[in-house]
Order: sequence, then C-alpha cells, then structure tokens
Amino acid sequence: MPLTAESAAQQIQDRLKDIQQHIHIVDEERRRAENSISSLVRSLHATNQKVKPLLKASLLEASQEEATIRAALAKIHEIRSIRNERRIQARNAGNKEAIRRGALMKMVQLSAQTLPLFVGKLGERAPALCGAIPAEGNYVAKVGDNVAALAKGIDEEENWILAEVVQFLHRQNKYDVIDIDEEQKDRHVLSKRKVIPLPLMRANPETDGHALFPKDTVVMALYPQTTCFYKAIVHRLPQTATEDYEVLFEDSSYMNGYAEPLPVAQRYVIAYRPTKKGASSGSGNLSSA
Amino acid sequence: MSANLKNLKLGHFGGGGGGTSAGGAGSSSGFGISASSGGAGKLPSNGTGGGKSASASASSEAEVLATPGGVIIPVIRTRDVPRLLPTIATALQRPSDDHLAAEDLDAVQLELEQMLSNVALRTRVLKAEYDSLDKDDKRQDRRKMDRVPGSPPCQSSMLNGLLGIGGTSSTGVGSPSGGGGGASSSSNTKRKRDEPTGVRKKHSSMTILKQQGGVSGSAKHQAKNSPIANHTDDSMDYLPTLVSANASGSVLPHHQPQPQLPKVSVPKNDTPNKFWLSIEPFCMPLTNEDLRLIDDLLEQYRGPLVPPVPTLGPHYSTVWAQEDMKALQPGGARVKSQNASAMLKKAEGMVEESITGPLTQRLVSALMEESLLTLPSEQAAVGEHSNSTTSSSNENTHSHSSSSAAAAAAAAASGNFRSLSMLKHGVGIEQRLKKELLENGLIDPSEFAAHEDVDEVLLEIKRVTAEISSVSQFNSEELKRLRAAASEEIKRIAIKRKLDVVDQEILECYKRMLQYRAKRKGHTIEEKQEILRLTNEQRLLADQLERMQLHLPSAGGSSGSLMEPKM
Repeated sequence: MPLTAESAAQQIQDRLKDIQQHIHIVDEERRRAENSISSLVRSLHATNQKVKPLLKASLLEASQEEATIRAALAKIHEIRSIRNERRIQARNAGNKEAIRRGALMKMVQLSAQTLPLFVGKLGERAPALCGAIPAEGNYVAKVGDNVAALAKGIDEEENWILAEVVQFLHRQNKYDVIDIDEEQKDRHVLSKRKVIPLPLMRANPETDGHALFPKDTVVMALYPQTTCFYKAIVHRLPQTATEDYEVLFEDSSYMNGYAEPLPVAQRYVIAYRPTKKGASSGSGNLSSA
Repeated sequence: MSANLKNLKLGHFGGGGGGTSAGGAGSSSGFGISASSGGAGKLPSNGTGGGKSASASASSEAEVLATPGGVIIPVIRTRDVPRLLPTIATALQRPSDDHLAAEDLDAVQLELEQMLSNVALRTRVLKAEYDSLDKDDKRQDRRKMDRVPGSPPCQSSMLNGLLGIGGTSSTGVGSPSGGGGGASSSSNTKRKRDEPTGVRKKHSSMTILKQQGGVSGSAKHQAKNSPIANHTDDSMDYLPTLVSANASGSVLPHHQPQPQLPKVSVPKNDTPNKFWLSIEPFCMPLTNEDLRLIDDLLEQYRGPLVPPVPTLGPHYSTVWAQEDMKALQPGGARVKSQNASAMLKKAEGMVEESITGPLTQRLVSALMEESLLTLPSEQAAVGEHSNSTTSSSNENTHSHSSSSAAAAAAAAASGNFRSLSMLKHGVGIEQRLKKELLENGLIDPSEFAAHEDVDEVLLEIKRVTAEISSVSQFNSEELKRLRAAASEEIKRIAIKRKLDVVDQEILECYKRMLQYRAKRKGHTIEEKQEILRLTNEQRLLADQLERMQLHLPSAGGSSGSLMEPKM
C-alpha cells in the first residue's frame, strides 16, 4: 500500500507522540533507578543484609528502563523507515530532486550518525551487519539499503561507490543499484559479489568491543566528502558510540604510503575486499586527495 | 573504619579527604583510591562543569554512586541530565501528551542510545555484583565445611589496592574492570571479618584476575571492551550470563575452585638421536655396490675428454661464394661446381688486378643496387645505368669517387675495360678512402694490421682443453685412490665379520662353561679343544686386521680409531 504524504505524516505524528510519552516514562524510571541505586550503595557500605534484594530490585528497574528506552528507539526507527519509504516512493514516481553536493554530504554524514546503535543485552553477541560483523553468506540487501558497489566508471575504471539498492534480481543473482550521488544518474546492475551491504547498526564500544575492526586492520572506508570507498588502515577505534573511526587512507604521495588519519563513521568502514586488480587497492590509489 | 568511609563519601573529586584517610586503614586504602578517582572517571570526560553542578545540586546524596569496592554503577544522575541529554531535557519540559518536535528526532535518538548503553552497563555491573555475592555465599557455606589456613589478611588489602588502581586505568562511564575486582575484594574484606580462611582461595583467583585485569587494564586507555580485551571476552563466553570482560573476570575465578596449572612436561630430548641418524649413511660399512659406483666414475676419465680439433677448413667466405655462384648458374651439378670455382678464381684475379681495394669494394657494393650484381648478360645495361648515375650524382667526392668506382667495378665485373677512362678518377681511391675513414674516426688503424694468421678460436679451445685436462687428471687420481681404499676397507670388513662370528662362538662356549660350572659338571675335552680353536682363530684374525691397519697408515688412522672400540 503506497504511503501517501498525509498518511505518512500522520503516522509520524503518532509515533512522535509515543516517543514523547516514552521519554517521560524513561525519565521517571531513571529517577527511580537512581534512588534505588543510591540506597543500594548506602546499604553496601553499611550492612550486608539487605544487599541482595536491593540488587535484585535495581536489576529489575534497570531492565524496565531498558525496555522503555528500546521501545522509544524502536518508534524512532519506525519513523525513519516511514520517511525512507516516502523518499523511495517519491523517487520512483519520478521526481528527482537535485541534491547539491554539500547537502548530499550532510545527508551521508547524518545517516551514519543516526544509524541505530546496537546495545547488546546481557549475554547477547552482536548480530550480522552490526559494526564489523559481516553479513551472512545468503544475505540479500533490502530495497533502500545502502551498499558499497564495485561499479565501472566512465573510463572503464572500477570503483567502490556508495550506492542504494533498488532491487535484487533473483534469477540473475544480481543487484540493481543506483549511485546515491544522483548527479551521476547511474544505474548499475552488478553481481552479488560486487556489492557489499553496509552495516545496519553501529556497534557500541562500551558493550560490544568485539564488533569493531581492530586497530591496524585493512579496511575499505568512505573518503570524507566523497562517495567512494578506498583502501585504508584502521588507526584508532571509536571510544564511544558516537565517535568515528580514524583511518589512514592509502596515498602514494606520502612517504610511508599512507595519509594522515581521517575520521570515518562506523557505517562507512567495511571489510576490505581485494578486486581483480588485486595487489594494490580496492579501488585505485589516491595519489592526490 | 566507618568514619573513614564517611570521609570518602563526602570527599570531592580530588579525593583529598579520601586520599588522606586512606593511609590510615589498610583495608580501605584500595577503595579509597579507586572510589575517588573512579568518581572522577565516572562522569564523562566533557564534564568540566560537573564540579559546579555538584556543588549547585541540592541533593544530599553521595557524589559518586559506587560500591565500597569502587565499582562505579553507571547511572545518569538527574542533575546531569540537562548537560548530558539536553534534547531529552527540553522534551521533558513539555507535557507527556504533546508530541516530540520532529527536528529533535536525531538528537533524541542519540541520547536515548546513550541512556540505553548506560542502562546496559548498569545491568551488567549489578549482575556482576549480584553473582559475586551469590558465589560468596556459596563459598561461605563451603568454607564452613573445611577450613583452610589462610594467609594474613593484609595481603588482600594490597590486592585491593592493586585492583583498585588497575580499575582506574580505564576510565569511562562505568569501569567495572577494577571495580569488578574491587567488588569481589570488597566482599572479600567483608568476609574477612568473619573468616580469614576464605581469603586464601580468593588470593589465587585474585592474582589471576590481577594478571588478567592488569593485562587489559593497562591497555592504553582504550575502551575496556575494545578488541584488545577480546582474549578475556572469549574466556568469559562460557558464562552465558556475563558479557562484560573484566567485571566477569572477577566472577570467573570464583567458579573455578583452583586454577589449573598447565602440565609442563619436559619434552624428550630427541636431538642426539636425530644427529646420529643423519650421519649414519656416511658411517655404514662399504659394499661392493659402492665399489662399482667408484668404478663407473672412473670410467668417465679414461678416454680423451675433448674430441680432437679438426683442421681448419676453407673459409666460409669462399664456401659461400662458391655456393652463390652455383645458385646463379643455370647449368648442371658438376659443371656448375667447376665453373663456379673457375669463375671465382677469375673474380679473385680481377679483384687483385683492379685498383679498388677491399674498402672501396664494400663501399661500392653498399651504394650499388642489388640488381646490378646479376647475370653477365645484363652487363651492358648495367654499364649504361652506372654511367647515368655517375653523371646525375655529383654531390661530394665520396659519391663521385664511389660512383666512378662503381662504374669501374661494374666495368671490371663485366670484364670490359672500356671505361678505362674513368679509371683516372679511381686512381688512389683506395688510399683516399682509407684516409677519409681514418680521419672521421670510423676505422681504427689497428684494424689494418694483418690478423689473418691468428686463429683465435683454436687458441681458446686449446686453453680450455688444458684446464679441463688438469682437473680431470686430478679427479682420476683421487678416484683411483678412493677405489684402492675402498677395496681395502671391504677386505677389512670381511675380516671383521669373521671376527664377530668367532667372538660369538666364544661367548657361547663361555656360557656353556658357566652352566657346567653351575651344574658342577666337568667340561669335556671337545669343549676344551673347541675353545682353544676358537681363541686361536680370534687371535689370527685380530692380527690380520692389525697388519692391514699398518699397511694403510694414512687411511688407517681414522679407521683404526673406529676399530678400537670394537676390539
């Protein structure tokens, strides 16, 4: 059922309301938790007796708070997906809004920042397509997902570009992708091997450090202010959920072959995949940035 | 002690109060340090305004929500909300039935995620605490059963201190690393008052924790769950309920009664065996096979190494000239050859007759067209053609002289000396050409030296052959010596074998003797004779071997030493 603008707006409004409610609830819960924790601490310092039940109570409160927060976040994601659907519909309907370069880059950054954060529950490990965890072998990217696609440029040069999935052609096992930089107006049909889905969630360094690329890993990263992925080495990991990686891009104009560290959001750092050109890079070297 | 704890609670972030009081009570020193600096660490690094808000806060609660062990329980304090979660704070101003401002959506998402992360960490910390308490209770019950003499309590405080310090090295919201250890050590100290005995078991586990914590805690201020801590992560995995690395690290040792010492078995030293095995092929006794091998090698050196150098045949230029003439002739085989050699002789003569020397010949042939050097039937056309070319090309002396020389040569080739008039230009052409080329540096004067007689190839062949022959001489000598030595050795080995056999027989007689003596039987005469015979034979063989040794003193020196242990 195609979403009309009005129905979309209505749904979004509803959810915004829900979120507001959730925020209030969360705040209450947080206060409650705060109080109980402080009393817990007091009891820990003083006597041993009531510690356990207090701990249990705190745990319960924490889990409640967690549930509320997750619900609020879910609503937010719903809003985003509604908006995304609207955008795709609009695009399919044919109105191509020309997005200026600056605006496009901002969008790219924003989408990386607001990528949902995966916070694992106790004992939960990060799923596929969270941070550095790769997709499963039979994973098929959904319509509207962002991917890195090895596309041929004008001069027969292959580059890993940031693209959006239009559809997956089952019979040919190929993706129909479109460059997000709509100026190119390029629509590529590429085999599954040449398409790497970007992570759907960010990894939280505080709880799931294993889902991040370790330092000195060779990766492919989106060069800032561009829409192409290049070979790079991880220099510094994000310390918090909102921080970026710092990577060193391969650059033959520097003495050691690598440039200064540049920040790249978690979403745009993916595992390195060597192309046929093989030895040197995933897509051309940067000789002049 | 409680007074100290109260000091801790009221201490500011600098931890002055807590720090000074820490020196007093040994057991609280650890968490004094950890709590105060943990307090500083608890608030996020951008919290420079934290101090202000702390003093401005009306709440009489403790500054830091931490367990006595220094575990920071991650909670976002109400007073911190406006600073940490600004968007949510503003959203909270509006009533709950209002809707969220759409433009705040992204910021709200990030803040909610922050809260979620906080809650998740809090859950983990609380769970860790809870589990440690649980284990302590269980331990208490178990300890009550069998008392183990414990080490003095003060060690636990040292560990606490170390753990506390280890905990502070990794900052950030919630640092259960040292805190985890601190938690268990805190419960440790509580138990300590009840039972000093329980301490000892925890020591061993604490030391392991300390190592683990030290390893990951001393990681360079990375997020404690960064991939460096992965190695602890994996070990925690089999506790399905606990994920956070070091917090559960504190719990882990409680599960195991005692750490398993890896069984270190001294690996069998295999090297001498390998060595002897490696040199065995060289020490094996010689066989006829080896002798045959040497003989084969000698075979190579018998005949002459290099086939004799044949005498020098006719120069290739004459051979090619003959072949070319044959090709040009239309007629039959033998006639051709005779004609060819005759023609060649005539050509030779003409060349010597004409004024043009070898240099001019080359020049001319280069300048003239190929087609001009064809059948004699075309001579006339050739002559005319060359004449015309002479007149048309009058550029420089060379071409002039060459073309005139060409004309002269063509005339000579045709056997027609009618262009004798042209010869006047050709006089001294060879010398002129030579001079010209020398001046231009195109030819070295040394090239004109006669070097016909020196056959360089032959010289080279002779030299190389001489070298080879000397080497092969040497080789064959060595091989002959080797062969002689080998045959000697084989003979010696045969004797040794006989000696071995005799030895065996003697041994058997000896054993029989012993048996007889044991059975108090006298030995028969045959036995005695047997023994005498055998011993004689042994002596003979040994002497023979000795003699052989003496015959070959050079080779025998080493083989003699080999034989000694045998004898």
